[in-house]
Amino acid sequence: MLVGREMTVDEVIKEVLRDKVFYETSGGGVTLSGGDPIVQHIFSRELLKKCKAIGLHTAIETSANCQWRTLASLLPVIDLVMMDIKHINLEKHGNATGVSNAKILENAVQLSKANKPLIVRVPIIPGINDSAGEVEAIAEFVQEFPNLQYLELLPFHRLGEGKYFALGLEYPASHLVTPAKDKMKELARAARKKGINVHEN
Amino acid sequence: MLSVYYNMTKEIAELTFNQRLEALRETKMQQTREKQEVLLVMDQDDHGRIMPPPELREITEYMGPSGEMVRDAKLNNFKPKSNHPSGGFFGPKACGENFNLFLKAHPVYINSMSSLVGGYMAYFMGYRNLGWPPELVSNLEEEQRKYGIYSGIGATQHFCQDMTIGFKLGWGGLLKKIRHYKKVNPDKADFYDGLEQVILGVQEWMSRHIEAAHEMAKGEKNPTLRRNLEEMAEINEWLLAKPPRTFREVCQWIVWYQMIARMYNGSGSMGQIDVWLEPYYERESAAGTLTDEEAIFHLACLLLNDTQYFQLGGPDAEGKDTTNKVSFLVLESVHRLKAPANIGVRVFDGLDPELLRKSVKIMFEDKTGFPKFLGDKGLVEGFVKNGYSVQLARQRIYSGCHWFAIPGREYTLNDCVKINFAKVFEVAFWEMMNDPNVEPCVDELWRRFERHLNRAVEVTKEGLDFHMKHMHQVFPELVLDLLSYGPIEKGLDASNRGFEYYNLCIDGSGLATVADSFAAVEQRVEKEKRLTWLQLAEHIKNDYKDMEKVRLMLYNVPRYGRGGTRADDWAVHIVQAFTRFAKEKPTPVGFNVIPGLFSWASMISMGQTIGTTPNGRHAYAPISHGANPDPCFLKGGSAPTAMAVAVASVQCGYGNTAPLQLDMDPGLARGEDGLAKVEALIKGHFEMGGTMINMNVIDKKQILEAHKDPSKYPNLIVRVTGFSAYFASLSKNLRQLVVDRILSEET
Repeated sequence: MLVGREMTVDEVIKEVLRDKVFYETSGGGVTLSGGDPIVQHIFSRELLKKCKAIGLHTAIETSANCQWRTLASLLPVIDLVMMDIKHINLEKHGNATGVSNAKILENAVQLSKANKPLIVRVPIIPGINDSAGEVEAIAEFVQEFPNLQYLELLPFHRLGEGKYFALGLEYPASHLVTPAKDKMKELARAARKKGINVHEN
Repeated sequence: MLSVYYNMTKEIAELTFNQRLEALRETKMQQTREKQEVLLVMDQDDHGRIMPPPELREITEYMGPSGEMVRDAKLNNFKPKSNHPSGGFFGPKACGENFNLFLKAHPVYINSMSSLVGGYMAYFMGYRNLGWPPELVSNLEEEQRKYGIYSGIGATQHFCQDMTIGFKLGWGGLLKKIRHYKKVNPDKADFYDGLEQVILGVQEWMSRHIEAAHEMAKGEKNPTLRRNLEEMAEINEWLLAKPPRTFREVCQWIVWYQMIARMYNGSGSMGQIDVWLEPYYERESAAGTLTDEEAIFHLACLLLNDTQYFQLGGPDAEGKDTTNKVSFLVLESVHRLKAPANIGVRVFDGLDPELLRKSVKIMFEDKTGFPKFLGDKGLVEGFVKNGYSVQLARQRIYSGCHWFAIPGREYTLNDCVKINFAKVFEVAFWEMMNDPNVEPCVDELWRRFERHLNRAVEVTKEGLDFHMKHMHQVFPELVLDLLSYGPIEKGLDASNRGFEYYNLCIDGSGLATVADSFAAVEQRVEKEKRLTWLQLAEHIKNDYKDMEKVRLMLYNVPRYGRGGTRADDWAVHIVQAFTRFAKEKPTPVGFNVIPGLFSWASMISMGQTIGTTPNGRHAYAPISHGANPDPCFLKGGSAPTAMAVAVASVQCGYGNTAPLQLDMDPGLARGEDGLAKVEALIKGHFEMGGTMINMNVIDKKQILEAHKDPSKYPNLIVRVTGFSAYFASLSKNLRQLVVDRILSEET
């Protein structure tokens, strides 16, 4: 292991409970992010189970690029799912991310039937999916989801650049800039045409 | 006599309040720049003080009210009369008479854009070339120096008057009261003479303003300003002797009082402005004689005059929320001013949620470190442990940097008395290392630290008794006495049993420095045996010279603030010991003592008295800030919540504060729930027993640029500790501390 430290579920719970009062005052809870919690889904399930047992609200942020049964195994101990959809088009998704979006979209459909609040997030990457057409297509895909809380558009940022530098790696997105506010508003308008709730971050 | 008259316009059309406020803001910026040029640095509150005109200016240095040296400009047309062989002046009669003469020498100041006359230019304390008669010796100096004690002997103000006494009586009524009780207590004639001289002085000063305002009105071409000058003359003619009748007159009365309180001995205490002004506002609004815009303007003019300490909202004695329309008008006026302001919102379960929401919104929108947040639960539950009722505890009002006092009834010496924990640690460490009969170990170090801390508290208590015995003979609280219950009636100064309640504040400083030091020696020397005690002592003697690896090894132990670490345990241990020693008995004479944690802005000067410490701190570097963990205590984690938990865990718990200093990234409040999250953080800290939050919302890039060249950001305001100030006015050292804090915090 190059970085980080190994912890047991109980050790994590101890850290989590330090902020207990803030969960109460904010109505918030514990969100597993990453990375991706599905990569360590067994640990994630055990941790989330303990969180639920002590009355905490739980959520995961995930790419949902996995077998459905992996995601399904977490559902009983999750109160909220936040997942990313970057592209509806299979080829474009593959070109941009290196992986297919087939499982992601299937899992999204399955999640829409799972009776858990769902937030779908779209990281807006210049030159990849920052057009009204692309965003509308995603909005259309999710518009009938009965459990959709909202579609959230997240502008690309370069905060990850420091990590690449620290690891001695080249930052492949160095030529990209954060989309302008006006652009984000335009994309949000396009998505709202499908009659869904859209948040801009 | 010189009058300083500002008129920023040749405009002859009627002026709106907004235009006038813009002109007043511009004047404030000019005056601030002038102060920076003349005084070079101001490592203290940004006061509303104006520079004396060049022909009256004399530069000086003296010990300020918070125990730090200040560079200042005096009025050269006033020389006090001495009544002591040393050349100084002491006692109520001499202090009152000299203050009267000082006010006589003070120029008139009128800015015709403002709806209130008056501005102050000098500090009376600057003329006290001797702060304490040399024949009054405590014999405590050696131990005070040994433990780095700021003793509070000779300290002034730092408690709160009750302004409503002044609103009821006016200057004339106060004079009548003094003369009446002088007949009742003829043996206290000197004290009453002193009080009388203060009032006569302020009335004479007011008279010159009235005359000047009439004169200026004659020559004023702008109709708004001419009318304004005439109104100000009439208002002050009334207020010469009579109590204020209207919202504007109350604001004007406050201006006079706050100026003489500040000039006399640095007092900035005020209190519940929203409660005082509510009846006037309601009456005049209903009658149609006061609009909200006008009220906001008068409040802005009041706040521009000086940066006093006010409380908004909070429970009354019976627990009902005092928030009213004026609370929001005060917030709005500071929001429009965008100048330093020291106003706190008292957060409790019953607080109007809109007031809290608006406060947080302004904090993130304006980024001026305004307002502060006050934790009612910790304050009240703590204070009752001293044997007081909940009703009384609720009447303790925010009126100073990090402190509260019962207006007009409680003498506190808040923020004047400090024990430097790091100095105590240094004493204990070297005593242990130099003792050939003992094997150094952490237990032994702790035993000695405890013993010396106990002794430091004892020495401090003895010093407090010495102060209480003599202060009234030296420099009595003549201005604060005027608006208090007891001093005029009994003929006894506030510091001399004139009050009903005495709860003397002792603050500890340098907590993180010591907690981290204990943790470092425990882990690296005792448990891991990476170095021996002798090696550690050698490195400390040499200030880690050529031993950066060792220094970093000690620096990088899990630190106080991280949560669940040995350093966190040590921090709690230290505070529990300090609290126990403070509370187990009163001062020898019998005054109750209440502990807290605070360093004001003294981290630099306190650090300069201490050598290297085992937490990796270099010799003479600043010590830690108040109750806060040292910067960079948490890598990759959520610093605001971690700090909120840490500082809540080290509250002394008897009603005085251990403030949390939070420097937040503007991005924290972004998004739909951003403000709600910040509110949750505030409420969470107070739910855990926290007592005060001082907050900054500041962009890291901007603060770095401002630190390189402060002149690029002349309007940048930061909450340094309990007070706020223009960043450009601070010394480089104090700016560095603020920058270090901000850079280290992650969201």
